[in-house]
Amino acid sequence: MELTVSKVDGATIIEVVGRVDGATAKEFEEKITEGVPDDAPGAVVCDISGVEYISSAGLRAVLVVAKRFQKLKKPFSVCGHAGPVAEVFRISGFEKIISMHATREEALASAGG
Amino acid sequence: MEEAYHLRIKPTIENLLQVVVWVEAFCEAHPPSAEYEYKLQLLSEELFLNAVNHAYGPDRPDGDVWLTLLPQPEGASLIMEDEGEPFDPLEEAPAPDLEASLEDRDIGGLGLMLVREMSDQAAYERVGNRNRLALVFGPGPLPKMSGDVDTPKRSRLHGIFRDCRPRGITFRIVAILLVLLAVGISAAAGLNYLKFERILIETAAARYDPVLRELNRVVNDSLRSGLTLESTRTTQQLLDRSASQFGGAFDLAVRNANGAMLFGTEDFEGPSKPLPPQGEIVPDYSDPSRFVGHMSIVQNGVVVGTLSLSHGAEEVRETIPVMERELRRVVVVSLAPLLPLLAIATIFVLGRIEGRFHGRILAVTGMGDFKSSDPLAEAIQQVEESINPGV
Repeated sequence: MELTVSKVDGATIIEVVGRVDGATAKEFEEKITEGVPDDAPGAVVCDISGVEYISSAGLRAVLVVAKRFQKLKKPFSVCGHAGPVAEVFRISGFEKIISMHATREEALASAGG
Repeated sequence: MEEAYHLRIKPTIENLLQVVVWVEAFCEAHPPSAEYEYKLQLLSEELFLNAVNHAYGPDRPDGDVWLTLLPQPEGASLIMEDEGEPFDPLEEAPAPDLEASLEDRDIGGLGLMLVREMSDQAAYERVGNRNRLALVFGPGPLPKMSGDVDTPKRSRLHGIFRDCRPRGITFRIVAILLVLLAVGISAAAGLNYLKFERILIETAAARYDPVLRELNRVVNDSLRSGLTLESTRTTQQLLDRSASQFGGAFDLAVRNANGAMLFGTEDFEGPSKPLPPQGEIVPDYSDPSRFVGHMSIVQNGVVVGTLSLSHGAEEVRETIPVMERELRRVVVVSLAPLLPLLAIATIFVLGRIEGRFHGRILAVTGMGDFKSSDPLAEAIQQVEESINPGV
């Protein structure tokens, strides 16, 4: 799994590529905690279009991250989910509790608006 | 028929990669499963990680799990087995609350929910001491739940003992059997010994019977001339000579018909007896230290007295307790290794039978959609369902 954090137009973009499973979920959580400090300004968008595989361990990590941003009152959304990864998000009911968008642009627009 | 893939592995987080690689290799070798590769990967991981976290407590850190991938014409089947406490992930796992808000949403329970939601068919059973979950991806069929997976050879011996689950009934039967056996063998040994002891004593007592007969004949002959028993003085000489011929090994006595002593060797010991039948030796064991035999003295067809021969019984009597001890030792030595062996064999055989019955009872008392190949369990289940249609 590769995870990069970058700033785009005052928002934080987290780009994830590869597998988010039982072996990498911890790393996913830690890298986001380090990469996005509590006082980071603007919205946070997690782009998972490069994620080919996610398991319940990965979902748990996403949930932990989402709960932290909610506590910090920071807008958080996930984008780029497709195929089986999207199905896993849907079956787990994550679409109801996490803001999800097809593309990064939509996510940013939604967070800004 | 394509080959099934077997993986026996310790449930530790470090071994997850090995599971991933194993599933990949199977999907590559079996093209119809490629369509389901994501689900096979996902549910293998979910089941494996569930085993990592829950299958074995800290008292069994070295327990294994067994994963099997079965090729099917239009898909694949995944079987997961562990030897943890009985747990049906299809029925007993708490479902996460999908309607809860983000802050209330609990973190657990997702994995097994994905297992239930993303497989096309699923069945759980407890086989012996194993939890066995079968998942189907594609149209199926669901693998038969007991015994049709060609398990690797190394676990065959394990399979023999897997069904062996001795419980109360087995132990009760074994205990009764062992007691009966021990009592039976001891009783048989004791009875045979008593018989042997009687023969030994009779043989020892009859040692000088030929001498007694010969003397009796001589005494009877001496009375033919018409003299009375009391007046035949040669009788005393006859007794003395006979006794000294055998070095004093026995004592002799002649009594008249009333039991009064007429002649005898000096230190005759031994009781008298009512007149024995003519021509027969009557043994007399009333004095434990002596063996005595009595014969009637006959004159003109009338019994006029008795001739008695007495010899020491100490030698034989002393050997009897020694023989008894020896016998007890032999019985114990021969029973000691036999009983445990018999107990183990019986527990093994009965334990298997009882284990199977216990499996049937579990099937009947109904842990969810137990798919059984056991006709009895199915029949009972059908009866149960017809009685309680709502259940």
